[in-house]
Amino acid sequence: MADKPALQHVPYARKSALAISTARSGIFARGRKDAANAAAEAQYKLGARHYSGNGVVKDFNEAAACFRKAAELGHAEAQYRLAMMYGDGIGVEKDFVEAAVWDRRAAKQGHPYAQANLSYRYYAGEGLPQDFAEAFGWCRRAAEKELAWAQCNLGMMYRKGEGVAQNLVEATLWYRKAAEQGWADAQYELGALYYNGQGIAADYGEAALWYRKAADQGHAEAQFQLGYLYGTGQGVPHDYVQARYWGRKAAEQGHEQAQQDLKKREYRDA
Amino acid sequence: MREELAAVRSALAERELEVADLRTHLKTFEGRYLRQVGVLYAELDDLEARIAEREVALYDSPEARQRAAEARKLAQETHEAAYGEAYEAEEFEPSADLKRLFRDVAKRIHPDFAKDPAEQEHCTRLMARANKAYSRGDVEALQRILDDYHEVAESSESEDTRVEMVRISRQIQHARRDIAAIEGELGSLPTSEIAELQQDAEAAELDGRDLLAELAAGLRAKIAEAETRFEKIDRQIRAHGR
Repeated sequence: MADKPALQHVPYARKSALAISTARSGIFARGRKDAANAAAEAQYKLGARHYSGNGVVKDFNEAAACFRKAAELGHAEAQYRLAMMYGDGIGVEKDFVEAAVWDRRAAKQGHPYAQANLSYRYYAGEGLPQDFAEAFGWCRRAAEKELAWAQCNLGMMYRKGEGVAQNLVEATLWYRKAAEQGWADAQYELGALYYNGQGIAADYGEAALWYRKAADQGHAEAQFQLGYLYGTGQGVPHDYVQARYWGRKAAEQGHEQAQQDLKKREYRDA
Repeated sequence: MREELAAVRSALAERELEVADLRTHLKTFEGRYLRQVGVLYAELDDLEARIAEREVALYDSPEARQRAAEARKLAQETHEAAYGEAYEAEEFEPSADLKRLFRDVAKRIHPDFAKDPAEQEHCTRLMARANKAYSRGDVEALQRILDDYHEVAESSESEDTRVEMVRISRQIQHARRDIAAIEGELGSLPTSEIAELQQDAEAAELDGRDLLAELAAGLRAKIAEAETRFEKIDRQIRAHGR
């Protein structure tokens, strides 16, 4: 009995019932994030009312103060709007660095507008060191959430090869998404890609169609190009009346080439 | 020394009860959260995955496919998390009887006080069963564990004093080590995501708010918005005749 083997102590399995997998922990982290937004909602709403003067006195300083309180609690929309106010110097001293800080916090929570703004700040080096790769990454996230402005910018970065390898097929895809949402710049760019046959088979008819959509929204370059297509009969029937109409519209908006063409024509017709 | 052992046994049983309570409490909250909120995250992620998959049908590209695959993977993970084991966790309000019984069981069958490796193994199994029974609120199962143990204990009652003293001092040492371990767990449990969420929910309740209901309402709005997007892209696909 005395020579009983020494008892090897094995602490009994103290495996927590909460040994959590990443996915499960993810589902709780999301809840906490959304809960923080819910908790700060009242503060945010008050800020929004001060901002627009809805039922309370319009007061940008007060609005910024409310947004800041909500933002610090983790409210994504408040973070985004506070960033805007810092960027524009409304209700607070203009401060691009602060703007970038708050945009980043909202962007990390998946706020698409903040992601697009952060992308822009990286692109322009506003409040942050310029970084095309970062600009591209944030732009892509916003674009994936159907933000037309970001989709158009993403198309541009693919077209120019900024922050990503140049890829005209992807450029076309993203311009098209934004264009279909009615984003005039993207409609013009998509028209140009069709006209030049870049990333897509050249098609003057499609080019004219997308220029027309942008032109109808007052896009000067698209108006000028559409006028040119009518003048040369590419993709549309040859039509001088239409050509002049769109050329004049572009000139009225200060499009230089269109103004020169108009002057020449007036001189010639005089 | 025997008195010291008895005191350590009580302290350890008390700590075991405390940690079992905390775990079960969190597990209950986890179940409630998954049923009220988690399933909505699963629904939302599934919808987002279906949207990404429709996008591939509309504009096929390697990147669109990758996005769809990623969205589908996330949706599956969320689904597994939401409908996991804790989804079934029921509401838990331990009765005084249940607590007393568990304390009793923990004091007697704790593997720290086993006399030999065979008994230790046996006790480890019993302790795990006791923890499970406690979290189910199963008084009968706890009673059975205790009854089974009595039989084992009665069958080994011959030991000389010197051996007994060595055993007791070792048992005390092990028990102290386990108390420290439990205290570590009691300290770390409240910092897990689920525990923090539960604290948030309790704080909200003091303000007369129902955090889980708020989260669910927010998610339903997001789901409705995603459904609109899904229908839109679905219409586009039909218009393109694919």
